Amino acid sequence: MISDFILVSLKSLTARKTRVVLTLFSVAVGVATILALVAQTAGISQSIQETLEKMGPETIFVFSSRLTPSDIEAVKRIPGVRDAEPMITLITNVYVGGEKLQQQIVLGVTPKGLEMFLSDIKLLDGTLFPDTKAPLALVGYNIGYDHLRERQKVYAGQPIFMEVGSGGDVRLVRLTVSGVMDRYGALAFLRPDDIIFIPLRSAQDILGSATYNRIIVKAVSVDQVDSVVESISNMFGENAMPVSAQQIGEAFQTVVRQLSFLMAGIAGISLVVASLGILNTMLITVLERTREIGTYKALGYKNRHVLLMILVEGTLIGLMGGLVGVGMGVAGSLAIPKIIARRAAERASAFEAPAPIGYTPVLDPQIILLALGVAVLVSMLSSLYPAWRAARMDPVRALRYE
Amino acid sequence: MAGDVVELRDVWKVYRVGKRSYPALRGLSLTVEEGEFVAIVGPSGSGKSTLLNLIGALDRPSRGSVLINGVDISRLSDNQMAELRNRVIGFVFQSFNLISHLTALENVMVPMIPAGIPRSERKKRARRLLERFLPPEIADKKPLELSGGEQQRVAIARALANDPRIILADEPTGNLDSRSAERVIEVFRELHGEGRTIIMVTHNLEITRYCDRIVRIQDGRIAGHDVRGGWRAG
Repeated sequence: MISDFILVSLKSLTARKTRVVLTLFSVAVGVATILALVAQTAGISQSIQETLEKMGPETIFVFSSRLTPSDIEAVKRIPGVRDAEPMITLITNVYVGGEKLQQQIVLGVTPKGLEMFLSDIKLLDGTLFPDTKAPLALVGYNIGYDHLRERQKVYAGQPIFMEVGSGGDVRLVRLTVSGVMDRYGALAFLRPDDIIFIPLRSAQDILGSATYNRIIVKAVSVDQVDSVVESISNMFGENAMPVSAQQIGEAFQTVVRQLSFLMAGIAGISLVVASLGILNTMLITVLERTREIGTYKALGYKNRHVLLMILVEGTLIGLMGGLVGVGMGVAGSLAIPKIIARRAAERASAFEAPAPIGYTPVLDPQIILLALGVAVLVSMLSSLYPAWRAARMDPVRALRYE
Repeated sequence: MAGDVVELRDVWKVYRVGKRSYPALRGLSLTVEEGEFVAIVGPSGSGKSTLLNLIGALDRPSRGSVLINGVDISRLSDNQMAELRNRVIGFVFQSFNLISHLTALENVMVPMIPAGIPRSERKKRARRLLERFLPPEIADKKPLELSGGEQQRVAIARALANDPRIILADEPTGNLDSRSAERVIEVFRELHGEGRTIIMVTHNLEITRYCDRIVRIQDGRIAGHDVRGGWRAG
């Protein structure tokens, strides 16, 4: 008998297309919001996890202002350390082609340090640089590739210019591009695609300095990481800060978790709005169809039959809205990271360095089913009261209703 | 009394609006025998519709008893009353009350769903009922595509969905032109010929000519019975 009611309800829904479609979309938007938000946070979270795994969870970074070659040797001798390489980070304006990249990260590394930082580098053009004093540069994918026109825009052999110095004493240093990196991929908190790498000795030469400000350290194994971090901390005291890749990842995960709570709240609100929409639509429907309900009762429909009829109608709106919402949510989820990347690329070419976290959204079938289930449940609950009102209508009065 | 399908004993129906109460029926008694065709006439506000609602198990009396096939409807639950309306009684309304988004055929099938008739059977039966009174091509039309007379005949087919013994009609020709009304009257005569009990509120003199009895109601009481050819005081 329930299948009969579903058929009757479907016919009655198609008789009120406009209103049903509008209500249906309020549900769809709610479901799509949930799906898109969950997919993004899950994607970001997974990307952070992948970054850790790709770089190796045994990686430790040491931040300092002044490190000497003997400091590096000392770190290498710490028990549990497999290897350590110095690096120099500077943030400065760089001119590439006709563009000015403000606050660009330039990383001075040895070939070995680069390999410790990024394994398995692929190039669009040119070569990696050797251990040299020569002013060479390896540019990241987002710098070398034009996302808007979808073509390479920086080539090996091309000169780029880097500002050095501060205040009134700023000069431009010319670097020659040795290679352009291919897309390294979704690394959450490290963005090699946005970095310009130069040889370590060349960086020292340009800065006129014999020191470093970073060390990349690899522990022998993951369980040695904590003890190595502690040893480095003891060794340098306040002069250096060791941070493991895992610690960075956890910090990011915490932020993502807090954001996802916020987003769950937004999604919840959109569902409440949707359920009020259904409640309203079904109340109007019941009122408008008072005579029809009276007729059904006169023809021998019991209160529970009328209840079921209205309940099935409301639930069908929820189900259809849920299905549309899943479609919208999936499409939206896949589009959002692309929109972010595109906007970032537009802004990057205009005035600043791109800074989005790269990730791929995660669409878990279980989450999709859950969202659909919530849509159905919410619509069923919101049509319960209108259905109850319809069920207890007095048939005599309902039939007289104009 | 065997043979009585409807019996009302000293029935009162009082409506309350705020603090005031309006008695629509005041101690009305009426017996209708099986197979009888009874017309109920009377001025508006005399209680005709209230009477029909009670006989149709749509409402309960304030006092007195209403017996349908010997069963006192005051003692029935809402569900039992619904079952009675579904199986024993067929309703025909002045304004047809067809479900506008369903086709003629589907409208006739509506009462068969709670009766638990299987889907394939429903369609066959509904088609047979429709084709008794209407050309077959109207089966898939919606009520608004039909004339008033056609709509009323669809409604009569619907009233017959579960083969009830009692047909209740509230001014069934009230919204029809005289030609359509004639066709509808013919249908009621046919149903009467099949031995069904028909109780009809009407102003249509044409109909009253074919009735076994005319019951006159005034101020919630029976003012008199007009039995074929003769007059009997209430």
